[in-house]
Amino acid sequence: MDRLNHVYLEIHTADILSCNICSFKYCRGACPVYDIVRSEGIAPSGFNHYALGILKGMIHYTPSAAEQIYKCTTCGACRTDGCVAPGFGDPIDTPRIVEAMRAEIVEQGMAPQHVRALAQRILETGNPYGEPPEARGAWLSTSLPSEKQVDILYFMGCAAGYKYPAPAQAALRLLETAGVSVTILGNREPCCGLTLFSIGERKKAAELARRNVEALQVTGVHEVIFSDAGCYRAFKKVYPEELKVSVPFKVYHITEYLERLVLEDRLTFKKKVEKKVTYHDPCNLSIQSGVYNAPRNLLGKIPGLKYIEMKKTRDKTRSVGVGGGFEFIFPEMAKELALKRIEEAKATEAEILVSACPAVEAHLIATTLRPTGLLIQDITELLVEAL
Amino acid sequence: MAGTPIEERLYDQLIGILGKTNVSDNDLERFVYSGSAGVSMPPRRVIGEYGPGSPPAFIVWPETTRQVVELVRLANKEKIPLVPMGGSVGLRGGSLPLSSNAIVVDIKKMHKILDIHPDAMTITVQAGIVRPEMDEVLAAKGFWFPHDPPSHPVSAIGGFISTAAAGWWLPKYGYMGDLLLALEVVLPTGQVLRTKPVMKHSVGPNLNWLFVGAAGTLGIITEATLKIYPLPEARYTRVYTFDSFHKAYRAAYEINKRDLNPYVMRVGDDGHSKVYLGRALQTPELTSFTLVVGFDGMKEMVELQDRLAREIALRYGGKDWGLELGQRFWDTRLSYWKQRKSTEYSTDVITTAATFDKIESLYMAVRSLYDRLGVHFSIHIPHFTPKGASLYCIFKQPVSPEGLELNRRVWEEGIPLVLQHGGTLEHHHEIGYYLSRYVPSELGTGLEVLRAIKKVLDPNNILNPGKLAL
Ligand SMILES: Cc1cc2nc3c(=O)[nH]c(=O)nc-3n(C[C@H](O)[C@H](O)[C@H](O)COP(=O)(O)OP(=O)(O)OC[C@H]3O[C@@H](n4cnc5c(N)ncnc54)[C@H](O)[C@@H]3O)c2cc1C
Ligand code: SF4
Ligand code: SF4
Repeated sequence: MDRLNHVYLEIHTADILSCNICSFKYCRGACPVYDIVRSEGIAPSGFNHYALGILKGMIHYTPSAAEQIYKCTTCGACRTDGCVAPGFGDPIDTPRIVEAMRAEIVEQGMAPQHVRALAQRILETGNPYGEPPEARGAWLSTSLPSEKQVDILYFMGCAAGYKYPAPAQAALRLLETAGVSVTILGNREPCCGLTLFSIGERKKAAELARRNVEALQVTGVHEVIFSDAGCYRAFKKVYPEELKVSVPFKVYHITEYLERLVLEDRLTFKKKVEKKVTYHDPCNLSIQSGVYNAPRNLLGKIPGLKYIEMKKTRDKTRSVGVGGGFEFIFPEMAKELALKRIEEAKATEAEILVSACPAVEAHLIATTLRPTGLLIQDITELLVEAL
Repeated sequence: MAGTPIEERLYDQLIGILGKTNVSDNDLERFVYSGSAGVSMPPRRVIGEYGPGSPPAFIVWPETTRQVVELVRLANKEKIPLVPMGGSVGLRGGSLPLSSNAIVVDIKKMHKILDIHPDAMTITVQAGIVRPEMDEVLAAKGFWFPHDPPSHPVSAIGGFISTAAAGWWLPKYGYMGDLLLALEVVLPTGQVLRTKPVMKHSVGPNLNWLFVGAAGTLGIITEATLKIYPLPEARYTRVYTFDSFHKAYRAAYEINKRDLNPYVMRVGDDGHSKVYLGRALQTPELTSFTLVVGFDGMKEMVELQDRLAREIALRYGGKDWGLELGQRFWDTRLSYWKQRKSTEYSTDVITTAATFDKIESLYMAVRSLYDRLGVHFSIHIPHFTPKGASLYCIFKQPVSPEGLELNRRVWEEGIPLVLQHGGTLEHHHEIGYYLSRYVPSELGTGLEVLRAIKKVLDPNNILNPGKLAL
């Protein structure tokens, strides 16, 4: 393969070179996948060294190497926790480099079979679980206003649509309490395509993004509220910045929107919830989209709640294995990551681990079918309790 | 899975010993393992040189000593080179596989704490553990392990021992070798050597020291018992500036001579103050010659040590920048070497040590070489010990084929110069692969002794051939 063909990777040439000039590998301590595999190769520094070999024409992608390039949750912790010290310039954006390699792998027809199967599932069923499209949001009541009546859309996402509806139900309840009318597309809601993008299906993800934006535009809404951190990141960051699809409406994560309602005194929490709670920053919300304070500020409004931070928190959060298609491609490893994070949460002695992404919570709950002494909830569920 | 019948047979045997998830012949990993160790000084692959590393046949991750024993036996039977690897940041390619039939024995999955013994003030660990995995557990018991090179979040204890590493706090706490009480080593023929955790014995030479700095050529270290210290009650650190290297050095020399026992004592030249200390402390005013000196332990003692050291520093014309900046030095100690996001130049380093009488002339000799070649970046004295001091001489070169040529020239002129001035070939990092060619001029007959030992212990030459001139 001629190096001029590396259109995705070449954008990151400066990062790839300076990472290999560094090669001190401080980044490794932040990488949740490295933490379990302990391989020089499956680590931020390793991915970037492989990328260097590709760029310099020393090696070519092979199916066996391709398999390893999917062993990254694209969480971004290597960027925010360890790579550079404050004031020392921008850190290396390894997840973007990994995603670029995946895009090239897909275009060269070298994606592993299970990655191809995942892409096909998303394209055929509109969700990564392969659930029937008509079952999306089957739990929804029919009393919501139609999109013609309101100009705010609530986007539930695949996880809440199929696996873990409680966060979406709680979000709708909170919005209703504050007098905010929203509509929801129900089983017409599309998949955001973040997973397609992350696994390297750039063209298909861009196509889907364009269709999604058009479909939402047709509804005439001006604001979209997301519960799923991945969908939120897709619309806020990935569509405009990576897929070059502009998003002509305002997008909010549910925590940002609720925080606004609280500030405007449209939502108050009066009931005491005397519980010890810790919060897991979903990577797609925190590191990847920059939302750190809204969930914490909301928790701070719940009377009686005892909030305890985990050790690795905010931009030092640790992936639970959800992201970049990881939980679908390497389910066993994803479980291991979830269990590690649960242990870290338990170390705070909290009774409840809240997060702000149904995909994260669905994965944590599925991982811990056995009782762990820790209740896992979405932040909105806890907020409903305090109404 | 690689193709030849012998490789397939070996693969099955390796899986039999280690389990499927602990054996890899994956293309990505084989490429990364062929170059990531010692890749950055200078960054050969960035410049387009493939370098001497070869993709190994396999990478394996043992989890127990038993597995290492079986692996070594298999390698002996098949006459296959084994390359032990810790954190792989030894900087001179010590853990680089040099042949395509080599197996890299990555010990990173041997990272358990086996025992913490507060009464003995020891910790026993598997050799693949990294410091952050020990810190929290030790701190909970009121202890710390004070071997603290800036690579400590990455390098493994086994790597530190095998390179005779030098931590920043060694003026008080000693080298990695000094902090070692006992070892478990799988010898090249598969026997297991366990030394006794005693401070000293008179039963022949202390065999721990055979493996300190042995670069994985004489055995694979699987466990180590280390000395731990109680967390200090107080830590006072100060930064002083001087108008010459001479004055900064003499102040440090005096503090050392008075036996004030600092945990840290570093002298930096103007380059060092600007590009490292000033930058890490976010104090761009630090442009002249600097001395960092600090004390830890019981508060009353520390106050006294700090006062006496301060008097000496001021007497030599030092300007005191206060305890607050000193605290920042401690807080930002890992910022020093973090990447600089530059693709234009990279750095490399000659590190040496000598007795006190030679330090200033060594500094001057290296500095004038660097100035003449236009490569000077930073020179500092990272450590003082009762027996002498070390020098860390960083030079920079453009990231280009010309830069690589310049790098070769610095080494070719620099090493004879250092040896001529009574310095050692390498104090800090390792000899690894890249500096092997200079070993004969440093060791002389000593190299013959080493080679004889190697031959007896490793008759089939399976452990890390080509490193340390062995
Ligand atoms: C940012 C940075 C700062 C540094 N600062 C310092 C410093 O201040 N002081 C200092 O001394 N060094 C420093 N170094 C160098 C490096 O930390 C040391 O050389 C370290 O000891 C290497 O350990 P490692 O685990 O990375 O070993 P590796 O690089 O993996 O291996 C080094 C050698 O040890 C052998 N080896 C590794 N593990 C074993 C084992 N279990 N049994 C037998 N042989 C083994 C290998 O075969 C190889 O020959 C620095 C490096 C970096 C990247
Ligand atoms: S990702 Fe950052 S810390 Fe890691 S090797 Fe690259 S530059 Fe260094
Ligand atoms: S993005 Fe996350 S999983 Fe991927 S290399 Fe960085 S830290 Fe590891």
